[in-house]
Amino acid sequence: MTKVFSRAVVVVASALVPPSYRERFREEWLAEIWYEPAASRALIRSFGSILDAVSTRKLSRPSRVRPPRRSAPMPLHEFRYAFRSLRTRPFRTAVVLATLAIAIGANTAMFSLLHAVLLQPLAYPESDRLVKIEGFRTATGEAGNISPADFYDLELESGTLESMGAHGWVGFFTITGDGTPERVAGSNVTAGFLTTLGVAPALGRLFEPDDDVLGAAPTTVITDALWRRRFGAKRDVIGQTVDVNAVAHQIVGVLPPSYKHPEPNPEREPALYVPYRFERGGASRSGRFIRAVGRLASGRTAVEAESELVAIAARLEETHPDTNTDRSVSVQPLKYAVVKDARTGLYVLLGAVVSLLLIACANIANLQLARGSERRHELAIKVALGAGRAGLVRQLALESLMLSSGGAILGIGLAYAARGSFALSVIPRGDEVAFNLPVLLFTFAVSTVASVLFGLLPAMALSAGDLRKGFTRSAPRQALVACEVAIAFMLLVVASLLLGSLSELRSVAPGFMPDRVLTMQVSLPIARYEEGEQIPFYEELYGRLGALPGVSSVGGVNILPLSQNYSGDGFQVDARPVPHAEAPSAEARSVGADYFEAMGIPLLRGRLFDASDGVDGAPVVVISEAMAKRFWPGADALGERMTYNRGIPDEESTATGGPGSREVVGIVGDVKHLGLDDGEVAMFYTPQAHQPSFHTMTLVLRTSLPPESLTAGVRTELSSMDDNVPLYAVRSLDAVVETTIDEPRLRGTLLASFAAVALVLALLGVYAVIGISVDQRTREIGIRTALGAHGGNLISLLLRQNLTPVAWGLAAGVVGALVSTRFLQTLVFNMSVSDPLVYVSVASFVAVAATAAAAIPVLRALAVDPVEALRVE
Amino acid sequence: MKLTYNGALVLQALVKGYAYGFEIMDFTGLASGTTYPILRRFEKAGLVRSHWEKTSEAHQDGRPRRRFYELTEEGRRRLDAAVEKFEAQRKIFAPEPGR
Repeated sequence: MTKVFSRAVVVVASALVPPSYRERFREEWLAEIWYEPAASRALIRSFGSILDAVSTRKLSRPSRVRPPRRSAPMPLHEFRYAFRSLRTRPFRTAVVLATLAIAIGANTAMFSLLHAVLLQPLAYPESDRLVKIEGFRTATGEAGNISPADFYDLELESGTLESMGAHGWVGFFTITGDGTPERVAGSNVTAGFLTTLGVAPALGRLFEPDDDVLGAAPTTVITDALWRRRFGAKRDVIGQTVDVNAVAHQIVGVLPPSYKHPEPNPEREPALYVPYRFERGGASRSGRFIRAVGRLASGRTAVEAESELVAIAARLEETHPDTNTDRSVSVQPLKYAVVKDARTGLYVLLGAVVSLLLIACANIANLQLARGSERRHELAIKVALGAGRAGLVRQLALESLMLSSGGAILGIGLAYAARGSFALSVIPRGDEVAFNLPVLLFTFAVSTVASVLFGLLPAMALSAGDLRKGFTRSAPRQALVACEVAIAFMLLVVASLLLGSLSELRSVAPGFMPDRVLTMQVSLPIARYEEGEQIPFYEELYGRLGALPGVSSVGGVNILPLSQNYSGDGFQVDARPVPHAEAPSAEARSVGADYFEAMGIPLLRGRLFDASDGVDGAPVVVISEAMAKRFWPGADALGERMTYNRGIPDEESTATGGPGSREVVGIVGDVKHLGLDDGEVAMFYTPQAHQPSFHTMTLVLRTSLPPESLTAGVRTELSSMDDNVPLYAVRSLDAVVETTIDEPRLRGTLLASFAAVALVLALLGVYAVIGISVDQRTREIGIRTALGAHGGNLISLLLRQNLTPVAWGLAAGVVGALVSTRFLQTLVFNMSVSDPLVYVSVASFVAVAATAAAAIPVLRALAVDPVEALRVE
Repeated sequence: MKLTYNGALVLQALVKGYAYGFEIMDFTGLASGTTYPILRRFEKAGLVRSHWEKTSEAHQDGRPRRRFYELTEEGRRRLDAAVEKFEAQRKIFAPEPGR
């Protein structure tokens, strides 16, 4: 395939060589490729043919006496002339401007996104010194959080890091006090977290080490947004107290408006921070739930920090084998860690808009070439009146520059107008997109490159051609069409792969039935509901909600599937206990009332939880099918026992057989856990009444009505039970599922739009080139018709001759797509990037569309009366 | 026409009997995009001439035709001058014995 592409490069290059020399040139270069056995080297060599063609072209030009050089700046009248010349062909100028505006606009928009996400430094002082520290299992490479005790050891021993800080999962806190109770996102942090980021408080102070010790008075630092919204931007807020989860916290500081949490998540941007207040020396080493950041000491690199922290982690592995066996840490620059998942997708989109620009330039170059033929009289007169060739080229270049500048201005306008049309916040840092100086400079550079690209070929043609004859050769135009078709084909393949993958994702059964289900979160403050006291509250709430009209079943769960949260917990199979450090883990869920019915998760065997599984019921567990297969392979899991000690007092928890030992009473279907592209996850469910530590539950209501219509009824029932408990994150289950494919959908939609524009431009190119070629042969067609040529034969002759560049373009496109889509595999779900079906369908589609575009001018030419045609000069 | 270092390499390849593009590139290590433009310039300037081998010969070997290049008198003269120049340069840069 590569050799075919190399040959295509030579053929395209030979189009640049004067006709008298072309055949020999092509022959010599094709032999060159033939002699090279390695396909990749043949490809590299083939690019040499382009340099050779340019040099041959220069040499074969007749030498001329150079006219005296004019050093004076371009006079104003040349601008006026260029402007007038564009104005005399308003339709063509408008088409060129619109094409450029779309292509440059798409490039501007995509670069502004790329600049905001990948290039711009994070909004912290000296942010290039910030790193993210993650834990991982050395055996599997599975990344995760680290434990507080490990964090303190790393912080104490590290010399490459100037400081370290940590934050937790961004959850929700209820704030009460003045005004209505409000549910806001927030996170626990260590004292060093904000100072490590280098944040300066707008008011008050940040946390100090004394705020972050066991028994310290509760304090909080709030964001600028919360300060303005809830506290009316009053400066005396410092020192006031606010109830956070029903505990009075003193507000010690307000963050600046520019502050952003280092883990961007539009649904969970923290409004406040609260110190962890871990007990130093007594903090957990087995619970891995904190995320660490560090600031490199001056002159140190992330690589140095990593090797140091890995050595410390190895020492911890030796001193704490029960918890740290097989555990290590990794260090990455913070910016890289924030945006790494978005990188490939952004590069693909950038590639798409650059391709779009190339097609647009090829198209405009084609138009200019055609126009060059039309303008030969005008230009010949100018030469006759004493204008030098350089002057003519300058004139054409000036027109190109004016067109590209106009396109750039319109393009910026388009990009600016479209900036709100896409939910960019699904991309990390997508909300930082701005039209700033670097973006404008990029647009300026793009438009200049564009003017060179689409102005170069016509200007070259003009300077080499004989003005009296005009520029009639069609080879460069056909080469341009071949390039356009190739690029459009590649974009269509990529778009088809992404859209196909999106539809594959959509067709994935999540393991539950998401239609007509409402979900919402309720959180009872720990300060007012002691552990266990919330169980009767939830039971009453489930009963009341089940009685609402239109509700068929109600349930609750601590973590809803696909809600971007997880909780892997260790357990033991009672029949086969293993040492603590090697205990298997699975996703643990606590569920209330008729959760499985409300979600539509099917029971496969055994039974679901019922009234007998209340507070005093025997300990039981329902497991997922994947869990049954994985931990009881080839055996029946029903009736077996597993020990899961969460919620059991420490002194009573045992490896197996203690109060945490539960009987497997049911097996249910698997559900998707973090995303639709996830594999089957082992999961087990315990009754909510047996897990009194969960105060926050997601309610699930299955209904026959539009789900959102239930919200008001639920709110009324909840506030009639406790007025200070807020209801939040109210969404239909459908919406929850849709959110998980936000990013692939945005990517697929954008790429499909770019590919569609590219195809339209390429078809216009085919249409224009064949139109010109047919027009030039009107006389010949007339003669053939007059001599009795059959219409059908003429059509097939003209199409065959004119569709060759399309065939070349498709061949080059197939090679290009096979090479370039290799990088896409991570973005494509359940499909192969070289799926032959995609290639064949896209190729057939392009071929049919191109034939249709070519048929229009051919049919038009045949409709001309032969007598009229013969009169054409 | 000024003779560059790469140009001298190509002339040297021809004088040693490497006669067509692929061979010249292999001998000199120059890229195709450098070698061919040099050959074109030299041919135009009269330093080399070229001829195509007979189709029948190529077909006998089952390969495409080759275009053979050879030095002209002028080309040989320019190469000799270049070699002389390089020799002189080599002397200048050679370490002096005993110092």
